[in-house]
Amino acid sequence: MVTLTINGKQIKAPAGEMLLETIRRQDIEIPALCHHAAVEPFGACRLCTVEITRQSWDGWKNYVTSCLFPVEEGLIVQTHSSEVTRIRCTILDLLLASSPNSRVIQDLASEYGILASSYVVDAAGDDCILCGLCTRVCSELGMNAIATVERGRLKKVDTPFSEPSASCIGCTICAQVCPTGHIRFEERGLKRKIWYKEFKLIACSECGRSLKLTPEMKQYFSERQQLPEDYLEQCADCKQKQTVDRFNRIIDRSEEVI
Amino acid sequence: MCIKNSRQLKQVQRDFLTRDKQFTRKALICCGTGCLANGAQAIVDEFRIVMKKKRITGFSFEAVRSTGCHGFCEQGPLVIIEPEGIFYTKVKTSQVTDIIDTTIRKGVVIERLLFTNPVDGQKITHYPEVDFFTHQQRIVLRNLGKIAPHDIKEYIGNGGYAALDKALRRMQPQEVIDEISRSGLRGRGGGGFSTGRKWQTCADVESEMRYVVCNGDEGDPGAFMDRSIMEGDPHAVLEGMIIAAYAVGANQGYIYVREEYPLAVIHVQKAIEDCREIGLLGKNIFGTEFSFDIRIARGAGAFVCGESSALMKSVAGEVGEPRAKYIRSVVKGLYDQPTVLNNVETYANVPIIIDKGANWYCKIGTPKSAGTKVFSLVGKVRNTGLIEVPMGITLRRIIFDVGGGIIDDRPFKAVQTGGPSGGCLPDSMLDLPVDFDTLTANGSMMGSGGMIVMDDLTCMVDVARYFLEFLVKESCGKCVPCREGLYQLHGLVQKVCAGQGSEQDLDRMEQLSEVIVRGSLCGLGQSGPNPLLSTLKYFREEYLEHILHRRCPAGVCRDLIIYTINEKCTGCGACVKPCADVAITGEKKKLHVIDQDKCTQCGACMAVCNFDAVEVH
Amino acid sequence: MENRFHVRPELCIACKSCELACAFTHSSLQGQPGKSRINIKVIKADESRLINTPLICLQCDEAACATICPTNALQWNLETGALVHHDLRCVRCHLCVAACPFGNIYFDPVTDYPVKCDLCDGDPMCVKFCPSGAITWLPLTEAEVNRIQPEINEEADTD
Repeated sequence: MVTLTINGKQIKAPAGEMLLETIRRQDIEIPALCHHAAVEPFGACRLCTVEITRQSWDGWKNYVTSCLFPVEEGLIVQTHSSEVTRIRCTILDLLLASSPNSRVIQDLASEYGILASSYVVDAAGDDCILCGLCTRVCSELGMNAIATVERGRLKKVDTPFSEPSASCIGCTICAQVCPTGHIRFEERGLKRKIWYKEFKLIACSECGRSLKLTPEMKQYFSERQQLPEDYLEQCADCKQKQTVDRFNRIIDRSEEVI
Repeated sequence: MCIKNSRQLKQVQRDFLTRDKQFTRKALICCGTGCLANGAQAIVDEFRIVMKKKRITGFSFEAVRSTGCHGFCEQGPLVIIEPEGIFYTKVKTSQVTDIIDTTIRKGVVIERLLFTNPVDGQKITHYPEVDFFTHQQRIVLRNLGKIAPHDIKEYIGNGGYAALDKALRRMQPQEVIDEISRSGLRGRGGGGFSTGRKWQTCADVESEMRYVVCNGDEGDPGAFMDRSIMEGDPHAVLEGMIIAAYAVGANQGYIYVREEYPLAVIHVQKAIEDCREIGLLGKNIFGTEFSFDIRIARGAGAFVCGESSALMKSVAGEVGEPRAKYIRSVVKGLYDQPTVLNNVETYANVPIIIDKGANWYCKIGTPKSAGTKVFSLVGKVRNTGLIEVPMGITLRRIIFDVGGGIIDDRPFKAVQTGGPSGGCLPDSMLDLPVDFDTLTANGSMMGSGGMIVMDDLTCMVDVARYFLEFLVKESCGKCVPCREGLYQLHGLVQKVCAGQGSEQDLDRMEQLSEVIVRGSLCGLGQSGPNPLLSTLKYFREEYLEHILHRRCPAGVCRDLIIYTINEKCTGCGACVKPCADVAITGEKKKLHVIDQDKCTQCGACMAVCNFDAVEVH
Repeated sequence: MENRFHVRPELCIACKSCELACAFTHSSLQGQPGKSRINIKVIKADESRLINTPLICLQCDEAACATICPTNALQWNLETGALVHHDLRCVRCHLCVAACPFGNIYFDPVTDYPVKCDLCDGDPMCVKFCPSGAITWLPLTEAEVNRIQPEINEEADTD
């Protein structure tokens, strides 16, 4: 355990923990768009920037992204100092200029008092803020179907050569973790379409309702997580019914026994 | 052949020198990229053809050496005749026979091929007498232009690998680190971090695997220091790396070379293969217990891959994006193992420090920045090229003594150091000593050694715009302040260039710059606004001139200038053809006129006019 | 002493108090009840008899939901013995829902995250609100004593 000061309050935190987790545990709200507990921290959006200093630093301050900075003994952290707020506001202002139509960005910016960007707004800008969550989750789970292509402002998330990717299993996790809802997929009945590729969905073997899983997912994850494939065949409702049936049989017999 | 002990190494050296002594004269032909572009290979081939026909005692084709870059690329192809050091510039194939007959056979100097001093118009016979070379102190570039880079025997013959022999046999790894620490060598890639301390940190981390990586991803526009060293003296880099690996206990090394440097790749690859063949790389180097090998990793030419963490990702085959370095790469770098990453020039310094000792080395330069620094001196100076000067030399001496002053004796305006992330320094700073700390304290930086000299015809707003444009294109796009911030900053500067800026825009630029500096993930963003901030600091009135009077004093910003034709016009019509906008009209032998509605201010007319008739306002 | 649920379907009167208690304890959005993690299922045993069964997560030792989860979003709370789903780590892949052999983990339609019984930090609210004693929260040994006879357990195990 290490002891540090956050906004004037002394706090203990387990060594090795990232500052952002410690701060959030104190119920202090700081935004972080590229952060997700399921993947390694990345430090792309820079919104979780905080001010750090130490007694020994003689008033010198540094600005670090809390999602990537491990807690240290004796650290003095300010999460909402005027400079931190200025950095955060400028970043939100910039994001609002590049993704003006994103609800998430609009809401977050207005929380910081920014109703319209003060920079040159890219009216055609899409909602992607290049936080990299989709590509990171796709690579950390081992699929590696999508990645960022190009660099700078031309950078975008895509499959290789904008073609259906053989390694895409249609799990839609990329869309699920997208903080701005930029990645979309279509799902109708037992069909799903994502990243130029169509998938069939597994139907419940009892009632025929969609399990929202593709056969590719079933195969991939049951092998990766080492769970027999036949676990993934029925919907929750049907399995509840079966459980009840089982209970009833037990009760019937127990009555007979008694 | 495999060298197993010091005696065998000395033998190779002796053999080479004995062979070399047979030649009464040698012709050193610069085959650096600059000279090759000027046709140096044809000169070498011509030598071969002519030599086939002639027989000269004490000279054979073996005495014709394709050497590395002299740094004086502007004057290429260069031919130097040793031992006199007769210096021929801009040599053509037709002159080769003459050189062989006159100079090599008889030792007579051919006057018309000599270099003319641009300052006083005098012909200079010998190569060390040229101003460009006299003011230099060549330590890192010691072999460049002297030896054939693709021949390991030449390197050994000139004392190469003696330092490695010394380190491996007579020094403990810790002693090597101590020696480098005492020498005061600082990283030449730009950061200026103490090399000895870096090695020490790496050696102290507990790990089974360590890596030594050489950063040869030189991306600054106009800079070619590392390129020339890799092309002209690859063994110096390898030797430095092997010594580094021995010091920190690494067994695998990588040289990261950008794909745009094909000759560097070829020469380094050849050097690695030669080293393996004689047992200087691979298992049991020099017959000792120490094993180490080097592989080349080729980069696809992204500027950001010169940043250490992005470079390591690129070597590992991932997308070259930087990561936050709260845990430093020397502790957790390539493949998450402790990694020593140094620049080409830093490694090239290592052998000579080990060879001559830290005490010798730290006397060169200044107490806090020891040694020399290689710069690529370009822009509006008379002598452009690659130079090596001791640290602490003033900018004035570099520009006016080595560089020979400004072209056409125009007034000096600014010098840009440190590449796109560096800053511009005005004439009031000309007497600043060039070292890591002074440059940084004055809003610029040493960087990897780019130095661009500008005269009064350079618009400083346009310079800031140019570098920002470069950085916007080269930003990896990972973090928001760099990707979006630099883009918006570029937009604001462009607004000023177009004469649409306001004074508030200047304040906004400064505020946004501060956030980019504080908020960005890696060095590219953190130093990205430097060209803007330094020009804004030293040349604010030029920005105000653009804003308040909609005037570009240097006559560069297209939206603020017009071209007109004055009465000097002879009506020759030379300007009509290059005008892509068909804006120039006029009868033959009569005054021509530019239609301002059609003109797009490209300046092509001004460039072709022989009578100074085209004016810019 | 570690506690276990002890469910006696024959005592359940299907009043659904447990469901309400659960829903209000796990409110998904401010002030709104969340999806209940305990469900009373009514099954026709035969023509004349209906059986009510409260269904709740069994906190399996080798839980299929936790095994299949690719991001480790289901983690044991060692103090309460509950296998807890952490929304922060979840990537909504639907695998856990499909994997549970008993259908005891499912999606909350409002938050779109999977929900399952978390034992209310060791003090299950459903038990407190059960008027008939159909669900009780007993120390392990006591629950063991009340358990139905071995041959029936065997049958249950094979399922």
